[in-house]
Amino acid sequence: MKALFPSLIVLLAAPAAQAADLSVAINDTAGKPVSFAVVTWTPKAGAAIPASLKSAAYVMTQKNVQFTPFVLAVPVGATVSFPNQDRVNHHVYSFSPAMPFQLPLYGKGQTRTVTFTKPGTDALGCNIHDSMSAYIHIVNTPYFATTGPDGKIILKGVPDGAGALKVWHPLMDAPDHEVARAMTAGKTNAPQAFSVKVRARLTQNGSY
Amino acid sequence: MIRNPHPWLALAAALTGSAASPGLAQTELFSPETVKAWVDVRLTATDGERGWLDGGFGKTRYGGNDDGAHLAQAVMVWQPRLADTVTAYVIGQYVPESDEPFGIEEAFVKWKPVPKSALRYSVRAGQFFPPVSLEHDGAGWTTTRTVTPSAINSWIGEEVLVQGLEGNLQTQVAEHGLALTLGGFTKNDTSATILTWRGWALHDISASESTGLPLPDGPQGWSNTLGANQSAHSRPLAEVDGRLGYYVRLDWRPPAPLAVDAEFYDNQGDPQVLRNGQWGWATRFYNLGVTWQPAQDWEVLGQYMTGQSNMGWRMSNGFWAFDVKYDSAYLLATRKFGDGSQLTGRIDYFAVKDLSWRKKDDNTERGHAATVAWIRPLTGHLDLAAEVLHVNSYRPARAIQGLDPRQAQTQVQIALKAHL
Repeated sequence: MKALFPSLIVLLAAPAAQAADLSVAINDTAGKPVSFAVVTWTPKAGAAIPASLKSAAYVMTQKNVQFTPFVLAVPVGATVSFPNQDRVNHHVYSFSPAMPFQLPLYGKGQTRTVTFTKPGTDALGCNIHDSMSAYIHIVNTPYFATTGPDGKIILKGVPDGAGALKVWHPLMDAPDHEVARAMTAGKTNAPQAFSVKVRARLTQNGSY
Repeated sequence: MIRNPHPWLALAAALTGSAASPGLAQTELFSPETVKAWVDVRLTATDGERGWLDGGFGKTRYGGNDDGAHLAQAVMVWQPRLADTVTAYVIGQYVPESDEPFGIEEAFVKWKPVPKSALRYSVRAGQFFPPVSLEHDGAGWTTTRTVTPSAINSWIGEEVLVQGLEGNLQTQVAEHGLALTLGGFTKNDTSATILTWRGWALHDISASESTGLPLPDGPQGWSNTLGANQSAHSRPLAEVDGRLGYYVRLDWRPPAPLAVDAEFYDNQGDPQVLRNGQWGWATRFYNLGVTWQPAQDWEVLGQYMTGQSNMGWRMSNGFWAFDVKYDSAYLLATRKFGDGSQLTGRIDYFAVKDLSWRKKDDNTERGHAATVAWIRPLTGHLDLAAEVLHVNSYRPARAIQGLDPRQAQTQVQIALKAHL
């Protein structure tokens, strides 16, 4: 649902050019759907990010000593809130070059915000709980969505013309964890499918 | 409580306090978040020989005459925040069958600055178990997959508790996580006394600063050879030789659901020193650990340890009067279910090779154990566990107590843990 919401805004915000939907399915090399993949369409001519999309609500919750969602895609200029729903304090940080920040200790019911002004990826951590890990992927296009458990998304209202379709996943075994496909979007678009190699990783026990 | 706060503690408090003083506004000494507590009660049935806590050679916590209901452990963990990057950690426990039931298991101050790059570090000072066990990842140095730890980590819990300073450095090289841990410590000079004379065991009693571990009864090895020069209780936190010990650990996390660690520990004990019935033991061991998650709800752990300890005096054949080599390994698999319950199976192997003086004091040992445990949270404050542990072992020294050197023992436990 979260992934759909920004896309709907895109649909409303970009009525000028000829536009059509683009559906994309991401599977791993074993054919299983890949969740938490961020799919973007970047028109060759570029595309402005509407103010309404920047000001939409983007939330990275801390709950049960975990970040939720594991991957959050936001457009450049978006402000993300970090509500703490745990009964313990968290100390959220990122040393990623895209947007290094830290949110010193805060407790249950409190929230903090960070505005992301550059495209890239922020890997998040909590200095109290080493097992907590999540990613914020900051994109420079209004056409983006994140896959759910079925590995599928629909980019709404993709304008006609050449561009790049990219799939990013924090654990993808690829340069910059990303694969790209150059293509031309038309009045109707054939569904696109990607097979990507995602590396499993160790999950630690999270506890208070 | 700790009777004499150790100089390390004072030093650490001074160091970390001064380094982090800008964050003092974040001090949080007493709040629901800083205190954890639990009571662990058991229903147990065990066959076979007398338990080691009663002076026997039994391999499990409860012996053949201990059936019934028991309070296993009552614990309070206090985790005050001294500054935004400085925490303290104190585990106070009550274990009724210990000779000193109240005690402090771990008590340390930890400084962990917020990472500014992929290179991160932390320092802790105080009393703690060196990071050997893969099984003790629960609050207050408890196991989370079984009630009873493996032979290796049972031994860490009883005879490898130190007071010192430990630094941890982590970094990322390409997609590989690497970490280096270095520890320097005092105390722990008697480490391997129990491992030598009682042998390996599988139980969940962890040492405290005041712990005395009973040696087996009888006119046997240690009492026959040393008489009054060896206390009937070994004190793991004794300092008898004034030497520092150390350990080094390397961790590697490849881009796969796998983690590997390797560690070397050396207490640099002086094997010829005797003080108050406590001998210095020169004890060093290697430990290798592997964690693997073959699927999302499966976890496999394994450790292998091999070590050598000696004590006493040089014999004419070049060996020490008390000279043992030991090794142990386990393989554990856990299946996690959607309701939070988990089922675990574990196989242990353990052995001690006695290199000297076997006619008077034969500490040879060989054994295997199989464990099946099921743990399920009933509510947010109540956990239920059921465990069956079977141990087969061969130890010639049992003959001194009139026992068959070959013994088999099965322990069934139902545990209920009520926690805050």
